[in-house]
Amino acid sequence: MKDRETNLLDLWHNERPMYEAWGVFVSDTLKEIVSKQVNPTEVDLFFRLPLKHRTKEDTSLLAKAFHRGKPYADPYVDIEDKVGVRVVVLFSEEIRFVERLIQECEFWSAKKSRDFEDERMARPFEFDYQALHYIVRAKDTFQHNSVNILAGTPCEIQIRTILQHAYSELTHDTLYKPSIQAEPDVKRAAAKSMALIEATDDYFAQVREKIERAQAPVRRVTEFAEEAYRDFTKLIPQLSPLNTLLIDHFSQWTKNGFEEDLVSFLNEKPYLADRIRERSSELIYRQPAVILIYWSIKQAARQVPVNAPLSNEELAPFYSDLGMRLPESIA
Amino acid sequence: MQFENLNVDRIAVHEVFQRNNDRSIRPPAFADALETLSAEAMGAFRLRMTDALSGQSQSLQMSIVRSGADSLLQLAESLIGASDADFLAGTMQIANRLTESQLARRIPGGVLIVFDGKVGASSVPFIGVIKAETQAGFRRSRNGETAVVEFLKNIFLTPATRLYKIGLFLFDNINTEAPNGRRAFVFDSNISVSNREAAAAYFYEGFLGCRLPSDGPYETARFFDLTKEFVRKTDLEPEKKRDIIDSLYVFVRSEQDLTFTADQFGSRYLPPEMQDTYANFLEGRKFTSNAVVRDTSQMGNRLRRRRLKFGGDIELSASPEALKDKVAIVSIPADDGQGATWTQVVIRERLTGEQ
Repeated sequence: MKDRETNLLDLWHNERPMYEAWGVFVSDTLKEIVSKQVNPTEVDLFFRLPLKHRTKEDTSLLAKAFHRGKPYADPYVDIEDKVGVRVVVLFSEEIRFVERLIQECEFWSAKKSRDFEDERMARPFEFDYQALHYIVRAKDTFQHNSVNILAGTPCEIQIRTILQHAYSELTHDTLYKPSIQAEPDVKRAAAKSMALIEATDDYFAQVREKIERAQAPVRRVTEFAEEAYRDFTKLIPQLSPLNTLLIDHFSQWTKNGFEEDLVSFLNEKPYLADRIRERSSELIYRQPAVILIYWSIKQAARQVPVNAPLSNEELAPFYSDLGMRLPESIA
Repeated sequence: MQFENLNVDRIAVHEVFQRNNDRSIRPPAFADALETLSAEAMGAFRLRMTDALSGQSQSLQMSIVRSGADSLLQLAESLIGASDADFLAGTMQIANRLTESQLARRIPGGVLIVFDGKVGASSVPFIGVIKAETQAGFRRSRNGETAVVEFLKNIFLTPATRLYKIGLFLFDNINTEAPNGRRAFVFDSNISVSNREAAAAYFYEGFLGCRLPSDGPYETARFFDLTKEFVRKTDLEPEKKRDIIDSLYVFVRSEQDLTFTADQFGSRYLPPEMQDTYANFLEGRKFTSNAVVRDTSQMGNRLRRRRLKFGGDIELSASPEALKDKVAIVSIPADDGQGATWTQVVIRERLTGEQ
C-alpha cells in the first residue's frame, strides 16, 4: 500500500493538466470581462502585474497538506488553491470592482474565502497581510484547450493592491516561521509597514479623487467632442494622446453650455466636415478635438496660437478653412 | 468678407512676360490644359488665398468701374459655368488682357493663374486671377543614398506675399445689371503704399477695371467712433484707456499707409487678452475685417482737438500731438482723507491766455 504522500501526488499528477487548463480559462476570462469594463483603458494597464495562473508545486502541496499543523479531513479536496490567479490593482476601490465582476461571472460559482475588510473589523488593532481571496468553481463540466474540466474544480483568485502586494512580497510567509515568531521587533516592524501601507492607500484614494474632480470638466468636453466629431464627420475617430493634449489646451474656450453653440456652429459650416475628411490621413484630423480647434478660433482667433500644442504650420489650415489668417503677431 | 468655404474648381496657369525692350508686347505662353492639383497642393493653394485676402491691410473690396461689354468683369462672368474648353480659352484672353495692361517695361513677368469656384457660407460663384512672380530657390532631396541639392527656378506662390497679386470677382446675383450683384476684392502688397501711382494701379485699375472704394471717409470715422466706444466700455484703468485713445488719434491720422485694418490697431495697441473681444465687438457692429481706405477728410475738428474732462466741470482741450508731447497726467491719492483719486496735470508751457 502506498503512503499518503504518494497517493496525493499520484492524484495531483493525474489532475494537474486539468487544473492548468482551468487556471488558463479563469485568467483569460477575468481579463476579458475586466477589459470590457475599463475600456478604453488598456486592460494590461489596469492589472498592475500581468495576470497569470499558477499551479502548486509538489513540495508545497505536500507541505500544506500534511506539515502545517492543519487537520484536513481530505487534504486533496480541502486544499482549494491548487491553482491560483493573482490580480494586482492600484487602488483599493478597484478590488471591489474586480470582486463584483467575479461574483457576476456566469462560468463559475464564487465564494469569498478571505476579506481584509472583515479582518480589519474583527481585529482593528492588528496590521497584517491584507487581500481579498475568492474560490471560484467551474459550474459545469466543459472542455478548454481540449482538456476536460470537471464541474466544481476550484481556483483561488487573490485580489490586492500593488501596495498590499509589496507587503506580501516583503514578508512572504516568513513571518510565520517559528524563528521569526520569537522576534517581536521583526513583527513590530512588519506591522508598522502594513499600517503605513494602509494609510498610503487612503492618501492614494484622496489623490485619485482630486485628480478626477479636476479632470471632470475636461472629460465632459472630451466625451462631447467625440460624439460631435462622429456626428459631424461620420468618421471613426482614432484616439491618441494627441487628443488629450489638444483638448487640454482648447477646452479653455469651452464655456458652460458651449455644446449647443458648437453644434449650431458646425451645422452652419458643413464644409468643415469635408476639410476634415480630406485630411483624415493626418493623425490630427482623426482626433475629435479638431472640432474644438475650429470652435476656439471662432471664439478667440488671436489668443488660440499662444502656447498652443500645435505649430503655426499645423494651425494655419484651420484658419484658412474658416477664411481667416493666422494672426501675424504670432506667425 | 471672410473667405470661408473656399472651393476651387478649375485652374488654368499661363505664363506672362515682361515687355520687350521696345515696349512691344511679348505674347503669353499658354497652357494646353487645365491643372489638376493634389489634395495637399489644393490645401496650400487655399491657404495662400485666405492668408492674402483675410484681414490684411493690402486686401480690400474695390469699386467696380468697368462693367461694360468688353470689361474683364464680363469676360470673367462668361466663364462661370462654361465648358472646360471654353474656360481654358477664356483664361487665355485674360492672359492677353494682363499683358496689355502691363504698360511699363519695369513690370515683371510671371504666371497668371485663373480659377473658378465657390466661396462663402452661401457658396457664391467666383472667378479669381493671380499674377504671381516667380522665385528661385533650393531644394534638398535624397537620391538613393546621397542627398542632392537642386536649384529650382520659376517656383511661385511661396508664402512671400509681396510676390503675388490677387483679384477676385464674386457673382452674388448675375440677374441684375452689372456691376450690381457683383463684388470685387483685391489683394496687392503694394496697394497700401500712399503713392497712388505705385506699381499696384496697373493691376487693379488697368487690368481688373476697379478703383479704390469711395467709402473711406465714412468707414474711417466709423472705425474711430466704434473703437472709442469699445475702449470706454472696457474695465481698463483710466490711464490705460487714455493711452489707447491717444494711440487711436495717431493711428487714424497716420499718413504712412493708404489703408488700414481694425486688426492692425487691435494687435498693436490693445492688450492681447482684449484683442479677440475687440474683433468680436466690431464684427457684431458689422464693421469690415477687410482693409479700409484711410481718409479723415470728413472728421474735421474731431481729430484736431482732444477734450479731457475732470469731475463735473473742468475741461482741458489740446491737440493730440500737444497732449502727447507736452502734457503729463497722473492720478494721485486724494489729500482730503476721503480715499478718492485726484489728478495731477503738468503742462510744459506757460499760461498764455484765458477766455
